[in-house]
Formats: sequence, C-alpha cells, structure tokens
Amino acid sequence: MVRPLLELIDVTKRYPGTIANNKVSMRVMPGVVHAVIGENGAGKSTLMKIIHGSVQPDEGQIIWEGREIDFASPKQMCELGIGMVFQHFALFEALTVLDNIHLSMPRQVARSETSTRAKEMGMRYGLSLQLDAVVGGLSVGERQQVEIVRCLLADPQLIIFDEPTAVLPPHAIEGLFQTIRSLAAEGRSVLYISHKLAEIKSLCHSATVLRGGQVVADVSIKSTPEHELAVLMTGRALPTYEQLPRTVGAVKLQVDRLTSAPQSHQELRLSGVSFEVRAGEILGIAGVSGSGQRELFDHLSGERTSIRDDAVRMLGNPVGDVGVLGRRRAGLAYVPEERHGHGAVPDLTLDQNYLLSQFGAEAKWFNGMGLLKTESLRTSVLACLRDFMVKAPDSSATAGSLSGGNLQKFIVGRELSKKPEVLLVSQPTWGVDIASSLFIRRCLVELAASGCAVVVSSEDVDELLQICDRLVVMANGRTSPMVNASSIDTRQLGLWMAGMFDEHSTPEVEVV
Amino acid sequence: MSTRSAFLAFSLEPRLQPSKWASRASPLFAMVVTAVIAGAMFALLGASPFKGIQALLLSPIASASGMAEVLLKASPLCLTAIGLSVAFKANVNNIGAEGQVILGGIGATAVAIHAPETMSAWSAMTLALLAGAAAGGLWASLPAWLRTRFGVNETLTTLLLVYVAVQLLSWLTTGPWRDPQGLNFPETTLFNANLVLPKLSDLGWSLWSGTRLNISVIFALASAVFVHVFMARSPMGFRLVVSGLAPRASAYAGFSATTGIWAALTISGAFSGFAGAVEVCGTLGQLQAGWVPGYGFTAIVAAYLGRLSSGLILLSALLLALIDIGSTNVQMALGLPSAVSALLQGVLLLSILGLDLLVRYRIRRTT
Amino acid sequence: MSDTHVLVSLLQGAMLAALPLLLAGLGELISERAGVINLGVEGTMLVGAAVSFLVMSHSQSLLWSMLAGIASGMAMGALFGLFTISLLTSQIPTGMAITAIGMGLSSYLGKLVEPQALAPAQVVQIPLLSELPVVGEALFSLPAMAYIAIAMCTTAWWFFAHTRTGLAFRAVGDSPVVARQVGFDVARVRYIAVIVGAGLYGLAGAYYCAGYVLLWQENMVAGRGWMAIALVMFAGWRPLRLMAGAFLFGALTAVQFQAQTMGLKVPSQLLTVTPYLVTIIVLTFISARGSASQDVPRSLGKTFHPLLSKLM
Repeated sequence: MVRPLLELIDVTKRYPGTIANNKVSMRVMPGVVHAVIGENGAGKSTLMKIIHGSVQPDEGQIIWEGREIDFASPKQMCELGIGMVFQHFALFEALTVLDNIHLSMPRQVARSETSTRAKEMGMRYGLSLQLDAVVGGLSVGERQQVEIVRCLLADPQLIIFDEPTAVLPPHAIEGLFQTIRSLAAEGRSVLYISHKLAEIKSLCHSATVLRGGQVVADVSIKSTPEHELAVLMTGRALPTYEQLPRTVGAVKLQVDRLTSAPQSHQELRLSGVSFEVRAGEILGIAGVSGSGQRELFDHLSGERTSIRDDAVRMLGNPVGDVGVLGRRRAGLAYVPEERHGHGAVPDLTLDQNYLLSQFGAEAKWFNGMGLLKTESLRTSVLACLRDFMVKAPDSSATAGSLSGGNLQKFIVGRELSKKPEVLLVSQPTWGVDIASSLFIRRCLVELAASGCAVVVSSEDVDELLQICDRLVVMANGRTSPMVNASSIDTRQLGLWMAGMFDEHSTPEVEVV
Repeated sequence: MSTRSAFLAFSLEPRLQPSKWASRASPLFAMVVTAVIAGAMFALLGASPFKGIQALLLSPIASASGMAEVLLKASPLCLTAIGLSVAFKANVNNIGAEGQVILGGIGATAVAIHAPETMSAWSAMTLALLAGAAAGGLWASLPAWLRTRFGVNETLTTLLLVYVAVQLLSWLTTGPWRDPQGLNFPETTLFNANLVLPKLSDLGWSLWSGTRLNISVIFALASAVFVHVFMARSPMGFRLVVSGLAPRASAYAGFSATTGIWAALTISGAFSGFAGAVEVCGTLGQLQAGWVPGYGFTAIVAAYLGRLSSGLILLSALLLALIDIGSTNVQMALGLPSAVSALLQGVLLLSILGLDLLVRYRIRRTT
Repeated sequence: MSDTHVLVSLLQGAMLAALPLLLAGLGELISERAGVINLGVEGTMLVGAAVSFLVMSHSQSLLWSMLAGIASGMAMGALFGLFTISLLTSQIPTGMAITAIGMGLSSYLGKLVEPQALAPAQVVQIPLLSELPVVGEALFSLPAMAYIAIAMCTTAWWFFAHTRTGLAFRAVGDSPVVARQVGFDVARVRYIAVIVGAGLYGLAGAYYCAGYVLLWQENMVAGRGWMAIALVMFAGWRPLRLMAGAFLFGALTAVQFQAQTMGLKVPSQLLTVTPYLVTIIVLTFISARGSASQDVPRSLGKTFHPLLSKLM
C-alpha cells in the first residue's frame, strides 16, 4: 500500500465573518496530478496557502511523507519539498528574471550556479528564459515560466499550480500541460487548482471537490464524466434554459470597432470590439477572467474615453469621447466588479455612497446655497434599501459594515433607482449569497422588461445562460460574433473562450 | 500568529468597523501620554513636574490678558490647520503651509503699504486680507501645477517652497519694501490705522480691555464652521473626501483627479495665506524679516491631533497655543529651555498616530 | 585672488558642502530602497549636530562626537521604525513628528553647553595625488570624513548591485507582500534599513556641526534634510549618482560663498534660494521624464501589514 505523499486531516481556517475551510481532508498520492475543484469562493486558495505555509490553519493536521507538520513557514515547507506556482505571480517586478530566481535559492548558492541551473531547468521542460530581462517588462506567459522554473529549482516533490491557465493564451496552455505531465512522470505529485472542467478532464488523475469551504467529493477523473463534476462543484445541475419572451425595441447601446491604447503592461489591448444591445434585451459577455472585460467596461462607462466619438453610441448619439458624467446624463448606469473601493467606498455611509453615482445630475440633491439636502437624500436611500431588500441598520451605516450580498443589492438598487437607459453590470453575483444572487438576477430581468438595455459580464456561464438573450464571448481583447443564448453549445463556447472565433459552427444570428 | 517583530509578542487583527470608542478617546490619551512625558522631562531637569506643568498649562490662562495671548496665538494656527484638514482629507500632502503663511503676510503687506490713508478701514482691511489669501493660494498652486502636469510629489515641492518664501520675505524687507525712515531695520513701515485689525476691546467687549485680542478669533471660529459645512455638505467637499478615500471610486463617480488636487492645494494655501495676513495686520502691524510664523508646521500637528475634524482642530489649536506660550513661562519660571514646545508637539503627534492603531485594530495576545 | 585659486576654493567648497548632503542622502537612499520614506531626516540631523557639539566641546575628540552622532541618529531611527513598522502608522506624518521632536530635543541639548567655536577638522593629504595642480588641493586634500563618505557610497552601490542581502532589500522595497510570500522577514529588513539610514542622518548632522560649521546654532541644518530627500530622487535611488548629485548641490552652496570674490552682484537671498529652486526644477524633470517611475521602489511610503499581507 503506497503511502500518500501529503495528507490533510480536518483542516479548518476561519476569517472574521466566514469559515474559509471547514474540516477539509484530502490525500495526494505520489506521481499523481490531483485536482482541487471548486467555484470562486469555495476555499481553494486558502487551502493552498495553508499547504504552502503562508497561512496557518486554526485546526487540523498536515501530514507530509508520514510525519506531521506544525506551523511551518513557506521557507520550511519549501525545504520539505512543497513548491507553489502562484496565480498572482510572486515575482518582483523591478528585478531581473535571474534575480527573482536567485532569491528563492538557499543562501550558499552562488549567482553563477543559479544561472546555470536555471538555464538547464528551462531546457529540460521546454521553457525559454531571458535571465537578464526585468520581470516588469515580461508578458504574462513569460512570467509564469519564470515562476515555474523558480519553483522547480527547489526540487519539490509536490508542486501546487493555482489557476495557472487563468491568464494564459491558448497556445501556451498545451505547453504547460506537457510540463505538468513530465513532472508527474518523474514521480512528483501535482496539485492542480482550477474550476475549468475541460482542462481537468484532460490533465488530472483524481480530484477533490470543494464547495462552501467543505469537501463534497473525492473522485477519480477517469470514472467521472464532466457534467457530474459540474453538479458536484455547483451543487445543482446545469439548468435547462427557458427563455422568457421579451419585446425588443430600438438599439440603445452600440459599440463599433472599439480599440484601446493600453496605459500599462497589465492592461490588455481591446481591438475591434463590436456589438449592440437593444431596449428590453440582456447581452451577456462571457469569457475567461482577464480577457479584456475590465478594459471594456472602463471604456463603456466613460472612465476611459476613446479618440473616436462614434466608437460608442448611446441612443444613437456618439459618446465615445465623453466622460463618466456625460454618459450618466445620457442615461448610463454601472455596477462595477469591485464593491469595495470602486463601486462603493467602505468607510463612507450608505447615504454618501448613494450620492457617489448621482453626479452628472447632482443639482437635484443640493439646495440653492449649494448644500446637500440631507433629509431628502436619506429618504431616497431608505426607499432604496427597502425596495431592494438590503439588510442595514440605517442609512448612516458604513458600506463596509454590510455583507457582500447586501452591499451588492444596495449598489444594484442605487443604479436601478435612476431608471437608466443602459445598465452595465460586471460580475453581478460574485461572492454573493444564493438568496441575494437570485434577487439580483430577477431585478436585472425585470429592468430589461421595462425597456432598459442591459450588458452583463460574468465568469459564471450558467448565470449568463439563465438571464441573457444574446451572448458575446471575449478573449484576448476581442469579441466573438453575437449569438442567441439558447442556440449555443458548450463546445462552441469553449472554443470561443480560447479565442478561436473563426471556427464556429453556428452562423451569425439575425435579431428578429 | 506573531507580527515577526523582535519586540512585540502580540498580533493585530483588523476590525470590521472602526472603533468609535477609541477614536473619541485617543486624543485624550495622547494628551495624557504627553503630559506624563512632560512631567518626566521636568523631573529629569531637576524641576518639580507639577510646577512645570502648572507653568506650562495653567499660568498662561490665569488672567484675561493671558487668555487673550493664547487666543491670539491660536487663531492663525486654527485657520491654517483648518485649511490643511481639507488637503489631508483629500490625501494631498501640503506640508509647506509655513511658506503659504509667509506669502499671505507678503500679500497683505503689498496692499497695506500702497493703500491710501483715505481709504475706508473696511475696504482696505478686506482687500488686504483677500490679497493675503490669494497670495497663499497662489503659492500653493505651484505645487498643484507641478503635480497635475508633471506628476511631482507635492510633499517635497510644498516643503522646498517654504525656504524660497523665507528668502523672498528677507529680500522684500531688506530691499524694495524697507522702511526708509526705519533706521535700516529690515522691516516695512508700520501699517496705517485703517489696516490694523480692530481689537475686541475697541469694539465694546470690556472683558478684553487692556489686552491685544482682536477679531482674528472670530475669523478662526468662522473658518471652523465654514469648513465643517463645506466638507460635509458641498459637492466639492464630497469630491475631496471621496478622492482621499478611494481614487477608483472617485473615477467611477466622474470626479476629475486634477480638479481635486488643485482644489485641495489652493484652498489650504488660501487659508494659510489668510492666517498670515491676519497675523501681519493684527498683532504685527508690519512685515519684518525676522518673522517666523512657526504655525505652518504646528498646524500639521493640530490637524492630525484634531483627527481632521473642525471642532477638534479648534480645541487642538487652543491646546498647542497654550503649550507654546506656556513653554516661554517655563523658561522664565524654571530656567528650562523653551524648545520644550516643539518637543511636546512632536510627542503629541506621535502619540495620536500610535493610538490611532487602536481605532483600526484589535490587539490579541499570541501564544 | 587668481582664477585658479578661486576655482580651487570653489571645488573644495563644493566637496565640503556636499558631504552632509551625501551622508544624509545615502541614509535616506538605504531607507527608501526598502520602501520606507523617512521625513525625520531634518530633525535627526539636528539631534546628531547637537549631540556632536556636546561631545566635541567636552572631549575635543572628533571621533567620539561622530560616533555619538551616529548613535543618536540610530535611536531616533529606532523610534521611527517602531511606529511605522510595528505600530503601522503612516510614514509621512510620523516622519514630521520625528522632525518636530528632533528640533525640540536639539534646541534643548544645544543649550546645555556654552556656545563656542570648535576646532576645525584635520585635513588628510593623499600622498602623490594631493600634489596635482588644482585637483590635488580640491579633491585629494580633504578631511577624513570625505573619503569615508565616498567609501560608504561605493560600498552601498556594491551592496545593492552585487550582494544577495542587497537584492533582498530591493525585493522588499519592490513588493513586501511578495517578499513575505517568498519567505523574507519584511519587518526586520525595514527596521535595519531605517536604523542604518538614521544613523547616517545623525552622522551627517554631526559632521555638519563639528566638522564643517564648527559651532552650534538652533535649526542650523536649514532644510538640508529635505534637500537630501530630493537628492535621492534626483539620483534615481542609485548611490553613485547620489555622489554626483551631492557634488552639484554642494557646488551651488559653494558659489554662494564665493560670489563676492567672483564679483557677482546678486542679492544674497537669490544665491541662498538657488539650491532649493534647482531641486524643484530637477524634481520636475525627473517626474516628467517618467523614467523615474521605473526606479522608484514600488512600495515606497506604503505601510505593510504583516498579517493581512496587504499594503496600505
């Protein structure tokens, strides 16, 4: 009987207000690629940080090669043989590739030795490294390669990959998979964290499924079909889609060959993005995170403007070069992805946060002397709290004291109260409890029914399929053709999410 | 979990909501800590700590004229600190208020020495004070321009301009504006009566007869009220608060970062300039080369001590003014150096910063 | 005075005036490379000056007064570090508080002894090189501290560019969050950087008083602490460029003193003001060029919370 390389027994970790990992037990055998599957917020990252040593569990045991480990730091875990390739790379931008790798080596190793070994490692696994390049100037794929080499040089027995393909272009993914397969073939174990079932099917041998911080299943990949994994992960079957009939009106938002000029290395370039949304319609934007959704919404909301004024049109009027205030006056409302720090200011009260998105038409909130009408603001806010079922003690509570779901309902309510012509929503239910999620989705559908044009971006494809009329997929800053939500299939979706727009089997759809 | 620090075996856990209790109590605690340190210092120097604290804090306000002096010192300090609170709330580091104060004095003097004697006191005074505010605002607009146009950090530029202001003052009072009948002293002519701030005793308030207390007190009070209302209830005030707390949310709201920076610097500069004008037209009555306001820096302490809130800043200004005057008493009564004032200000600021920790974090013992 | 004589005086004056700036600037550079901006330079320099004055007037030993300056600087640095690193206070107001404390403390210390003139520092003549015309007297016949300062700068350059510990410092300055992930003790690195830096401020102040001006005056440092901070930006956080920058600034001061002999008919205030104006202009150029953003330690000014692994 082969002993497991790593065993977790009843590991628990609590944070203020939530239990990230609840009695998680897991076994990883040597030479195996073991997946840890779960949706965003299921507790995967925390679990990996515990194994890696940067976070200490509140309860439970970690057993490595048969011996229990207590309070080990990342350095100690590394010495034991556990390495991690982070999702958000642990690299120093101002230092060179060699510098970064050298810092992870033990003190006695000379720089020249690091250089030789790094080159060797790169060649062994087919990774190309420019040792003298400053990391800040590298592309995402190149940075990941540095991360991997850095990790492998410590000769780990167990390597953890945390959502490695989240930011990789399609052609780099196969290269990564080959590297991982070589590692397993050498007898090392790999922990592969992901929520992308297709990849897991192709790469992994076994899997642990997490949901809400708990283990719900431990399966062998070969014997478990994809849809069953999906059910385990989400706790519900992939829904059958019933489209509610809606009357669709005139075009309210039109994006015509929108192209952007990135202001930093982290920013993705949008090229030739085109789509349109009509009154009464919900357009969904699907895509792997980091495909350009953030940049797109910056350009749609007016936080970033374009050179061409007709790149974006609202109600037929060109607004491409108009800023946030002008677009808001034209009837635009926006619920951003980040509640804390973008859509709302945690330290300010709900009254103040309500006022945040009223500017552009703010005159009605200030009296003749230029002072805020605190009473009428409060009345409106209380009405909003009531109508959108936000649990808050008073309108003077700070936004930061609200739970995720309640704050999201508040922000959605705030935007909907303006009776907008066009609504932009990014990740409407990320980190939100089930009840609030259902409520928010219903609000969006009702809003569309009343004649608004809604654009929803989400990483949750099921959500999009439930509420959207049409879909557009973003990949690498470009958009696919628009399709009816009811006529798309998962294979098509997968291809488009990987950026292969030209190979589609569904013809472009005419809107009736 | 330990903080990995060699000294401390406790950990800091962030609170979900800032602690109201701690944020009200910390200024008081800071004062207690400072008083203890002051007492210790006096004891170290061979003087009785109680006598020292009495000389420092109590004897200055034992008489009406003493209180008048404290109020006179506190007024320009309060005006400057209130203006700075606007900048700090917007996360703009204007630490060159001292220079803006000096420019304010210069601006007021420019009007004062050129205004005809026949001009009404009301209009001459108003013009001089406005000129002072404008000069201070202009001096602060230079760092604003450098920051918005070139991205230069305003922390350094505002500071460096203080030294330029000092040299400008020196040149004006020894050169073009020197009093020709002044026996070569580096100072301007004394201002005409229509340009000196009226004393409260002259306006009929007999309590202050025999003292120098003038209407600068009223200006200070008015400024506290004005800024409080401005920050809490005006559109620009809201913009400044948001931009200081969350730049991304500020962009989301549609606020221009550039406008915010200009507003924060020119407003705080104008208040500082106004304070300088008030002092020059008030107790000084002329511009002198040796004029070192000092409260341009003390105002920073007052602003933080008052947790950037107008009412508390008012009280802090009074306290700091008291300490300043008290330290001269300490020097005379106990033979101790008056530098104790700067030292205590620093200790106060440090204490309030350190105690702020309790507002945002809970302290837990680690095993 | 002959032209060469003026030139020699100018060069030598520049070197001597540059010294305190160089030392203080080096200290700030070290601190900022680890991500901590210490605005307490001015106050710490004053304390170093006062302490050195006290020790010098009692013991007549330049060595002891320099050591005392370093020690007092380190103590102020430890205080600053305690607040900004362990108590998580914001770096800028804490630095201002330290400067205020330093101003008060130094005034008090300075009054403990009767004002007196101190003996000038001994000049060290480097054999052979000091015989060279012009350059010999200007550059190779300087007090020992000048050579020590240059040696320190060179060591710092080598430390950051070629040693592993120096690399670790730069890593912490780039991203303390990642540094912690990789296993470094961020607090320890920052403490060392701050205390060593502050020791240098103390030395700078000590030398300025006991080795250069040779007497004590309240607030004698007159903004050189702030100039040192600007100097670090000007030098792009590189020790070798720092030397060049300090020399330039020193030259500006030297021109002030030589203005009379050079026949410049300019109001004295204009000369005094020039270094500050030049600093502002230089800062503008650096920021406008944008290349500064490449060199700035990315975590500069940000408080690192060890538990949350977040920057604030």
